[in-house]
Amino acid sequence: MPGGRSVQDEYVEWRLVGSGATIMRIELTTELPEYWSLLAAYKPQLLLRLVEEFAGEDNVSPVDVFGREDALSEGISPQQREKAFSNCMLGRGTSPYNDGRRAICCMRQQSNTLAAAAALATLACTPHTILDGVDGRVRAPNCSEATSFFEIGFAQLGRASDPLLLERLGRLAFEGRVVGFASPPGIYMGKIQPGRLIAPDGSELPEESFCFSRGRLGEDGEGRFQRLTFELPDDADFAMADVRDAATGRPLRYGGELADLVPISVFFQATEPDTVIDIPDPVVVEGAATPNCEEFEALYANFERAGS
Amino acid sequence: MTRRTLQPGIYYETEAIPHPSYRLVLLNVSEGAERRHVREALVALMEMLAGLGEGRLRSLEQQQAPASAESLAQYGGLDALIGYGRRLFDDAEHEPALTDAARPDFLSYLHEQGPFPALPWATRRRDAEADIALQLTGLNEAAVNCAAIEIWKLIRDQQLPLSVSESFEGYGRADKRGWLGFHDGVSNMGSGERLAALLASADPDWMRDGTYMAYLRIVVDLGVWEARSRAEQELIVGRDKLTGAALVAVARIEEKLVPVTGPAPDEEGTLAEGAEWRDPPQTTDVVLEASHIARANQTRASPAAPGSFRIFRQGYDFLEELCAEHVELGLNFVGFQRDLRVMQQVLHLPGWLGDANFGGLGDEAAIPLLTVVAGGFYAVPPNGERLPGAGLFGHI
Repeated sequence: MPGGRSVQDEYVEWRLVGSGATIMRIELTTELPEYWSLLAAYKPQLLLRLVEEFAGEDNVSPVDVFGREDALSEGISPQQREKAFSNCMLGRGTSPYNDGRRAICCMRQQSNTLAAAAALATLACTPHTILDGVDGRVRAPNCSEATSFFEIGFAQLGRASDPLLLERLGRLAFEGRVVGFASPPGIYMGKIQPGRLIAPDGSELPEESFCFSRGRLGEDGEGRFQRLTFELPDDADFAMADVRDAATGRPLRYGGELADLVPISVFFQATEPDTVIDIPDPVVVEGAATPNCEEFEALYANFERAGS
Repeated sequence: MTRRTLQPGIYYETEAIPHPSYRLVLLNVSEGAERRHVREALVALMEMLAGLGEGRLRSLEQQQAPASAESLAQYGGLDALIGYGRRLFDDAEHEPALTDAARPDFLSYLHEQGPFPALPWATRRRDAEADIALQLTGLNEAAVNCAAIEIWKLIRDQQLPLSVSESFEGYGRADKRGWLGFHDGVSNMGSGERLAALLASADPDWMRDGTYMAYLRIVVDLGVWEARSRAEQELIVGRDKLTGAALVAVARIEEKLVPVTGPAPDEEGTLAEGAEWRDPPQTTDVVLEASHIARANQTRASPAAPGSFRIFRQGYDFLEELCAEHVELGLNFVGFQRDLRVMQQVLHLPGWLGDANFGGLGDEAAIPLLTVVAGGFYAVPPNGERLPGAGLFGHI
């Protein structure tokens, strides 16, 4: 990734459609695998039509989506069909219709699930109080502290999403609010950073280059879409290879560069403060509130010395 | 973590106080110049500036004490930092090309049609995109101004393949306030966190343990600002104007928004009071979340976290023009960060400063308070023995 990042682990997945090094289209999805699993179980024909739409193909074979020819037959239970779909399209499934070769339909990476988002939100919304061992304040946990409430690796400071969710939801909980997903729960896209992608003449790209779908505009004016297709309109007098990121001056090379420009949203509802009155006693946190690598290295060096 | 690889002029260490006087001298390489001549010219400039910091002037080489002590008093403490701009890597500007080194991805020109979505160009622009930036910081205005002229003289006297393209001045304030009348830089990072925010990765390799400088000369429209009440200003900034304390809440009284502040610490104040005063509040109020200090500090993640987007700021105010009809003043925003992507994200992301000229919610976010009169990004390689970044111009 530009800037030397080796990791990009967020609640969005994408594919590039092109020929060789030439990008024609980039598709991003935040659709939840749980929803698609339910479609597979109870609305398999609708699911197949969606796959065909996203792949731009007619008559996608059920075998390529469910891994078995009898997936639509009456002898198959919804649970069997859901399992077949999961094995074929999610996780380590090899279907070309959800690994980017012929389509991308919903998120498939193991952390990109409603269950993972709900678990993160649930623990973040569980009231925690910090007694700051450095300055004596009683306060909500910051994201570095909140991360330690999770099993190692579950919440990661290296993601853009986890620190923000942990810290902001933790503040709501600290105020004694009850927090829940706004309905319908989901991971949403609604806009793209303005001013970043530009045409060869320096102007902004035509609005129709960005097609948000699989969702709606909320009453608050915020987009709640789960699919974004980035493709130049037919009458554009330049090619995708000519589109540049104003921040680098270079053409797009990776889908991750577009993903970097799309804010990802989860919507919550919260009650008034002090709805919850049983706030636990503070946890005392000593030392710097936001440890950095230097401190970790020093601690590790001490650990090594102690063990030698 | 590597220490002391950063060039002088970045005052990140504990107890370090930025020198109060600032001058940025921008240089372009002469047409057709060869790399080794450029490198030798820059070595000569940096050695001359190092000598100035020790009180040695080219034109006064023979002087003895006490005159030499007077020169040391004049220039002592002068810090010179060198950075390389996007233009140095632009083959369209240089024939032959000045370097074969890889350009850092986000070392780019500011966008001609507007540097950032909510921060437009000023009507009257100046050019701060150059091959080379020399940041001079000193203990007094005479030191940095005379040093700038010594640069100009050395280029002229030795016919170095360089020319001064622009220069900008600035100064620090003892009261730590800016033109808006508020405290500035209060919520800058603690000294223990700064290196994590500053040190560049090895992409490209020549920038390992260096840093990046973002320079924006930002004009403040005082008329726009002073048309607002103190309460309105405080809600946009997120701090109490008198004490500098971060707002902790917003009261709604008769449909008016009233800022609520915590107590300002006095000499006997507790650490907790000091922290409350300094840090942006852990607010959930939408008005405070839209304030400038909250937009720029969305989480307390370590600066090492990719999403924390922390910038070590070291700004200097300026007063450009003052007459009966017109005043032009503002801030030399000087930000150092491990990757210029940080700066781009902060100033493009909605909810950060991508949809607010300075701060505030709704219409307040769109007030035409700040414009950019000049700006440029520079790679600041790690400190080298003679010339930081000498390898850009080939092997010595």
